[in-house]
Amino acid sequence: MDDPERILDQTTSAIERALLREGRAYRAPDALRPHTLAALGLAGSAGLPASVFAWLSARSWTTKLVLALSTVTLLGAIPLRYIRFAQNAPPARTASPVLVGMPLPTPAGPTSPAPSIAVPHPAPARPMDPPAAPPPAPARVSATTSSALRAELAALDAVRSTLANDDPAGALSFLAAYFRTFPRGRLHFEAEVLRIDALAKAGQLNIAQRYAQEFLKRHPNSVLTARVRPYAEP
Amino acid sequence: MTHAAVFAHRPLAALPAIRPPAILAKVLSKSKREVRLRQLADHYVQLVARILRNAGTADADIDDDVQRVFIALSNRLDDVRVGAEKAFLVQTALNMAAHSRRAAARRRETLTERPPEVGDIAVGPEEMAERRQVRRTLDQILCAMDADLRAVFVLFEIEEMTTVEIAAILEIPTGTVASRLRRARSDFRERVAMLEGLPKTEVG
Repeated sequence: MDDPERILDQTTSAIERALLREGRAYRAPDALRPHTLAALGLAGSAGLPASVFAWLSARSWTTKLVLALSTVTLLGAIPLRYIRFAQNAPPARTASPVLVGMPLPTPAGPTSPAPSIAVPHPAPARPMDPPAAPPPAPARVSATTSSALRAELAALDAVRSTLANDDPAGALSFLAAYFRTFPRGRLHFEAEVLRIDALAKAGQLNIAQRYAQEFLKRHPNSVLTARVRPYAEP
Repeated sequence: MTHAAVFAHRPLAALPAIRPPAILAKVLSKSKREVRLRQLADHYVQLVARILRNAGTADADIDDDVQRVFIALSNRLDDVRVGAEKAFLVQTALNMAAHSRRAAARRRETLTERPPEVGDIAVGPEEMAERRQVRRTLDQILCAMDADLRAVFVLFEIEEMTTVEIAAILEIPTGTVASRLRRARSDFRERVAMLEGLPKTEVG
């Protein structure tokens, strides 16, 4: 069946043309793509898929070896880059890095469980307590620029890689640095979900559950609720 | 033992054949999935956003709804055959937009409160060049259209799909697509003619 000619190709009306062109010209903001990837749990690791894809389609083992080495180098560069900017941030003074800069699910009591995760920063006796004094001004990075967004993606990618390597304590310390460095980051929600993942993986199921319940309470319509809900259930 | 000595002791030719272990195969399988998802996001994020917008999702909800569409794809990725992803995304986006319109109607926050009428938004071509005004007018015209007609109109006139593609996506006969398209175009031109202050024109 032959399709009729499209209105835009045949019309003489300036209004029809303007309307249809406007419909075709709609373009969502560039931030939509990283947001979508973050919602899919694919934030960061921008160079990884291409390498993996090339690796999969490579025919000779020599090529695969070269590609594997370059992928390993690339993956190694991400945490190194992250460590570089994490070193610039001042260490937490009064709270565990796991919880720095994060909204607490409920007011902490003296019997709050202390995370038993080994972290590289000093932790107080009651890490669930809010800091007694405001923390020192951290080296804040504006999340409004694309470079800041890239840095956020790299930071979360480091968290994801560390989690994938069964190192939840490392992931939590990376997350603590992320929350310190990007107090108003664009990928805050994703970071919160990763924190819940990491806490659960570290065996801190009660804390993960409290964070999950708080997340669902604060963001009931978030696209990330599906990932959080299993942790919130008793 | 130095590295040189090790390699002297075990020449490269004598190394055993490398076989990827099972865990690597698992990782690669996961990577393949991620590669596919990432490629789909790269290719279709803007298409999905445009369809959502033209199908009636409010500007402020586009970001969330695009993510929901892709999460739906991610959840069903194994059921969606390679090559059919675009149809799945378009179909999901249209459903999502319909849901969004219903939710907006419940909140009494529809894009338009009434369809455009003569003398209401009677503007000339010069003023129409103002993009925001054009967008608002297009929203009003599309909003006044029946949802079934609107879907066909958006896919054919704005996304430039063929009637066969549209029929496959909407899972309706091509004859139905043609008839809906005819009515949608007639509706569209009638409303534009009202804006222009012209009498109704015959639509082909």
